[in-house]
Amino acid sequence: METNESFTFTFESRVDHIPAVSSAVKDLCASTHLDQVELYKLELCLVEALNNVIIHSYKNQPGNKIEVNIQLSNTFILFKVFDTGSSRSNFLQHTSMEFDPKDISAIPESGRGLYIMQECMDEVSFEVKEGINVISLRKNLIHTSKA
Amino acid sequence: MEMETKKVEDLLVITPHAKRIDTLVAEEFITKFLSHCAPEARGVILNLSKVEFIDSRGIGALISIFKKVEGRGSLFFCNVRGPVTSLLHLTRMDKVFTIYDNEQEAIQQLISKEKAYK
Repeated sequence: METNESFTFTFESRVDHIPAVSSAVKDLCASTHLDQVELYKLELCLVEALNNVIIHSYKNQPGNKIEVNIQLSNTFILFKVFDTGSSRSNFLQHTSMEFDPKDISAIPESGRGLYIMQECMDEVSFEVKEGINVISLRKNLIHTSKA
Repeated sequence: MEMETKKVEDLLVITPHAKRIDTLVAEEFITKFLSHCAPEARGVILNLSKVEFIDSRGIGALISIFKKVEGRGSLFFCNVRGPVTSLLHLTRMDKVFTIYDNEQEAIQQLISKEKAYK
């Protein structure tokens, strides 16, 4: 039988709030059959989405609202992150991890957030609805063979 | 962020006492690591046994200190937890960093490397 639970966290746009929120979400997701590595990747993707909102949407300005909605079911986990900051037209721009491991000086020190989300989740999307930015991250639980 | 340091022969072992290396503490991590890492220290081991969570900014911090130490010597990693190992693999940093299961193995390998260099 299909079960479906929904949880919502609302908090201020400050990076020091992220660990508490992401840890709580990870604890909620622990009710699934996912192992510690998969749970870590789920938390990591949420952290990357929240970093993106605070840094790029709210330009590191505190005092703004972020809402995270989590849907848990037998077949999927869905995170939705809502903010009212700047829209990011390049949010879903393809990113690559191609680099020469021997050329240490050329290895980039940033720009991995979207790549991580795209590799770890089954679906990543961004849309603007009535002035609200929505990042959606979906993980299917039927198969977990993706990285 | 607290960091434990110990000297083994000419090597330096640094163990951050932090559960997370993320956007919140990445800059502090870089600053404290480099302040513990004397300029003459050619061989350094970063023991990540206490670290449970690293995000993309944390990876950037590891790359930053790696570039600085590798410019004059070697930085090895050890005691990396399974979930963090999965992130290093995902971002292909396991092709760049030299990682050992435990501190003793990292020390032995780094001593051998330094002797070969001399």
